[in-house]
Amino acid sequence: MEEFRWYYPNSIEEAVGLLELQGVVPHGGGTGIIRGKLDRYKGLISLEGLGLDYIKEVDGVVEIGATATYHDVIEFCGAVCGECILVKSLSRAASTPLRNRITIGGSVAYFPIWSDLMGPLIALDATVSILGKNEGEYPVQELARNRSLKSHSLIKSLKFKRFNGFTYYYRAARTHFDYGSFNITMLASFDDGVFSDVRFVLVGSKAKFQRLAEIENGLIGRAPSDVDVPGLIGELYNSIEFHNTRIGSAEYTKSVALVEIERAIYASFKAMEGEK
Amino acid sequence: MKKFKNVGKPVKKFDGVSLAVGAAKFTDDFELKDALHLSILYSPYAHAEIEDIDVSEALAVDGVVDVLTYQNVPQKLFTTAGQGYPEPSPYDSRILDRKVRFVGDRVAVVVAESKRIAEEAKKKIKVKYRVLEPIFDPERAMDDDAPMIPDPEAHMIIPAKYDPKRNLAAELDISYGDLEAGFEEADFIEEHTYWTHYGAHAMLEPHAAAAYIDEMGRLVVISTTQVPFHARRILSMVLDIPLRKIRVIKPHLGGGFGGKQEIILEPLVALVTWRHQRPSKIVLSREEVFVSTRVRRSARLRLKTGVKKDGTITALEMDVLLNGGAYGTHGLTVLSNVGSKSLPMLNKVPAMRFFARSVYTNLPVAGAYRGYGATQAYFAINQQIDMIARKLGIDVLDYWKRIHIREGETSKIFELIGEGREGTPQLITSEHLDEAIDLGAKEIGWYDKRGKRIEVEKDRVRGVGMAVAMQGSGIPLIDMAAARMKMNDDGSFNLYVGATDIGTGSDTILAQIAAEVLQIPAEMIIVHSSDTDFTPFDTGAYASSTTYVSGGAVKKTAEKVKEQILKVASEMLNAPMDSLFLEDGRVIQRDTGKSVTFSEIALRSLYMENQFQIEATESYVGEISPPPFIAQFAEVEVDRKTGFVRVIKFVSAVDCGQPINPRLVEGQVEGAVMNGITWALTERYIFNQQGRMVNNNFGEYKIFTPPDMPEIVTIIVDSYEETGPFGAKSVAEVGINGPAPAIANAIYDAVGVRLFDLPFTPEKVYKALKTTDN
Amino acid sequence: MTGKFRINGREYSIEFDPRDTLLTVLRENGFTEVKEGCSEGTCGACAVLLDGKVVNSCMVFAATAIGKEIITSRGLGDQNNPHPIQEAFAEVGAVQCGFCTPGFVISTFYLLQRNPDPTEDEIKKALDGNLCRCTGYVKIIEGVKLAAERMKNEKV
Repeated sequence: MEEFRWYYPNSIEEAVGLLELQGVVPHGGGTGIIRGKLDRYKGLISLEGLGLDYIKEVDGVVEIGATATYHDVIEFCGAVCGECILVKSLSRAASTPLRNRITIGGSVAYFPIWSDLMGPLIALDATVSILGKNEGEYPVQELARNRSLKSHSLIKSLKFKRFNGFTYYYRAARTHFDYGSFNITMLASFDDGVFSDVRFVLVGSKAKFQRLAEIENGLIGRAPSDVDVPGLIGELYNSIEFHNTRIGSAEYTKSVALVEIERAIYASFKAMEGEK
Repeated sequence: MKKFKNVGKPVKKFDGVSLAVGAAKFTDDFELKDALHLSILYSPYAHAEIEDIDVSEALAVDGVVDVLTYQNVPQKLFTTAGQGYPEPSPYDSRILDRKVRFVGDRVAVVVAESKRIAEEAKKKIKVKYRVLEPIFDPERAMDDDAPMIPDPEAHMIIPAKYDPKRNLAAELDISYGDLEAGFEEADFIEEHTYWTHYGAHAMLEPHAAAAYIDEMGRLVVISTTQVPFHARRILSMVLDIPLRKIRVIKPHLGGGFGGKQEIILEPLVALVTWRHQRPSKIVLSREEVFVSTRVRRSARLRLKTGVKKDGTITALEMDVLLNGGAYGTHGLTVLSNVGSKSLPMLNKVPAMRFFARSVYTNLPVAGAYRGYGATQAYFAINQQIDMIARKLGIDVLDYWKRIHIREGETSKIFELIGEGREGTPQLITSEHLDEAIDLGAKEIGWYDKRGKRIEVEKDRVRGVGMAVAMQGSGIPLIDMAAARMKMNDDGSFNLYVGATDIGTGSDTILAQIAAEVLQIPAEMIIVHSSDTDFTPFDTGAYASSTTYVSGGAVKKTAEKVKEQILKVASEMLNAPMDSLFLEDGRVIQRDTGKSVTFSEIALRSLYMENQFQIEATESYVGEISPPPFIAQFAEVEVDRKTGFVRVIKFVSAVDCGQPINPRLVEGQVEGAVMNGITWALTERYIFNQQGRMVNNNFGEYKIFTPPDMPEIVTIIVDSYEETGPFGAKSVAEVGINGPAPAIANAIYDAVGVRLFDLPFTPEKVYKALKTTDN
Repeated sequence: MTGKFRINGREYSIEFDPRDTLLTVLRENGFTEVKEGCSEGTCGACAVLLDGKVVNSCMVFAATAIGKEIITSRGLGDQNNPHPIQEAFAEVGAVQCGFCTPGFVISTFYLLQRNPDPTEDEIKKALDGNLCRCTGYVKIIEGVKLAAERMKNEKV
């Protein structure tokens, strides 16, 4: 059997240098790598010594280091803003012991279709800082679409502007601890009885992740009483498609998604009502 | 209620702390120096013949010691079913066979110095298969043009209908009364077909086995078995090793539920260790447990009932087709239990026919599973009765009270259907189902909720449903258990039982029974169980037999010991035996109040005068199998828009006779309930076109974790079974029979859709809601 | 490769394959209280505390646990001196086959360290990574409540 080894770089520069090696990839929490076929790798780079497990907020911009775990994010954001969208979504991800292990960087790198991180990040217009071959700062969608960006590169951190408005998260799953079939993220701000900002993301459809412009445009600038909700849902009928999912057939999943999108909208109406 | 010192008390399970700490040893926890590790190569095809198998490259791998294939292992046919002798299951299996019959059937076993080497070397085995047409649909298994699945030499060793050429594993056709006249007489016929699905036992400990040669050259097998004595007998038979040279030990066992009532891995480690005279070991992965061990068989049940306007059921016909998968293990007996554990509930029906078949298919092998056929039957019966009651316009609770079997009554079925033979006539000696129904109804809030369709939130509607069931307590005149007990210097006792504690706490309750007889604290009994060398025979942990049958043996044994104690005490106190009684570890003379302690008695008998060992061995065979009864209630919430079903609350009221240990009784019911709920809602075997299970892990085969659980309430109904040890019956299985039908009935109550096939996935509910258009 | 591991307060120098999981290393070195139920992070039977946090040891490369504090169920108590959680589990009937129990004990310990007075809902969520097929969880939840109560009183 071929030699397999671990690298423990002490600086980001050293880590970036190691990315040159063939068959060697960064290891965050390891939950993704450990279940895959290890034969694919010749070695793993432990990111632990790099100090990337930080989370900070400066002037309303939250920055999360790549090796911060889901648990760390829930603790930090929970303390800062209570009901923020990442607390809602990541609390539903995987299980307690796994959330202590899954890192933000690893999740961004693999971005599985059932990820509970993807929707909120897209809605938050988050960006990802990458070091190495493709050094730069990329919108999270771009990274998710273009997997080659990750080759010989290291995810350093995530950044997004803190969102203080209405947040809603729905996850379709068979049980509490399950891979979600799809999820819905909604962020909204209200101003004097009308929607001033709406960000609506569906993850898990055939498009993998999509912002639902129909909903966003149908709500922004309107009061709930002026919104034709059935009309909006009807419009969506042709723009979202699913594969078969864990909860059921493609057609069924779509029906559930439409119901839950509608429920998200009504929840936002109710929240606006409550604010008055 | 009777007064007891030990019985009826929540005595702490003896091994609880040891297990919680992690000190208790399971099969995989034994360190075997220089052990060989086994890794199994499985068939990728559902039905194929091995044309050629080349293991040379695997054998050449450094560290590989042996590769087993059908060419170099004994080819005796046997049954993997861990049942009494002669087994009522077909002899249709070989340790390794030339033909493979499901995806997951064994092709070869690599034996190596480490697990990693064995797994690597396995990839180098070259197999040329001649692929045969598979049969996945049980309805097609007996078609004229269907390929024959079992071995051409497969046979039963008891007289029973068995036709391997037609893929028929078992058949029963039992009837009494005039069926035609009954249907004729009815005002209406209620006839429906129900489908139940495969299920995994999903015990947390994967199957494992280890073997070594002891210092006397004997073969010792440690395994995750519910049936150590059957394992020893079958090993000896299959491997041609004299039985006296084999010792089987069941250490701590991580859950069985019937899944470990099978001799699957023991022959492999026994063969390797015997052949190479070295220790060996195998522990299955979770995927292997799902695919290659055993499942609950699926069923199609057609139930036809003739009903008069006054509610009288005039005739009943149950037509059953079971899918047993690739081998026939437990086929006939599960089939029997579909009828024998369910139809007696409706003993007032004057005419019945039970026609049932179990067939072979090229899917994973069905074995024993908690409920053992009764679960499938009650799914149909409880929905059928719910529908009839609704048609009659009466509350189903009242209807059940009118029709269920009662104390002092019997059913023709008891004598017509046994286990692989005719049954045993029996009267119901204890039955408190009405109380169970009333207590359960009160707890669930039946009269406030039934038919109310309470909408707790927009489109989320609640409903309640219920089910009743019974089971048995061992197999009458077949299951035998023995116990041995000896007294120690300090007045403590060693209790040796063949009974197999698989996590149920049977060691503890058996000690409680012995302690009750001897009027001492249960801690004074040290229990040793399930070692074929040191403990007397017991058929094993199945058929809800341990409390009633093994408990019966322990009670008899303790009574014998008590007699000897009294005899010594009477010498010591110089008083007639009948003037003496036991209390708190002493023997007391009724008139004088003089007493001697157990320790004084032991010391005298062991060291001083008229020396002998106070000890006894006794056996027990049940002449009847008094059924426990249960009434179970589900409250569900159905999302009318999406079809998602959530169980809000689940109540069970059980008549299990006198509970020996109420906490452990509750634990049995609660575990069975949760297992039943997830089987109804989220568990499912998903196969691809080739017959391969695609969701073979806990990530995809969903059972609940704590956040999913509903409120679960268990009520133990006051009851006493005169024939049982201190009034006990049994409780392990009965609780799994109600959840699926109770949930189905509750869904109907909430949203008016009737679900006939399991599991109730949200999509099925959604589709039913669409078509019902309510 | 070789690494120094701190397990239950003692240091061990252990040789292992760089691809080994922490679960494998622990079990092969006698810590058999850490159980292998699925090896894919879904059952929780192999839960241990790694630097104070509950993890599935099957989802951790041993190489990343070098130098860290590892606590198993036997590190919390033994047969003659069980931890209040272990005692409470045994007492209320939360232990049936017991295969999953050391994992539940660890998850419970992690919860009660962070939240000594959890609600029933918080208890259930904290145990979302542990499977049990015997108990239906009813007595496990009861055991956590009893342990919380006793640990609170002990501290007072």
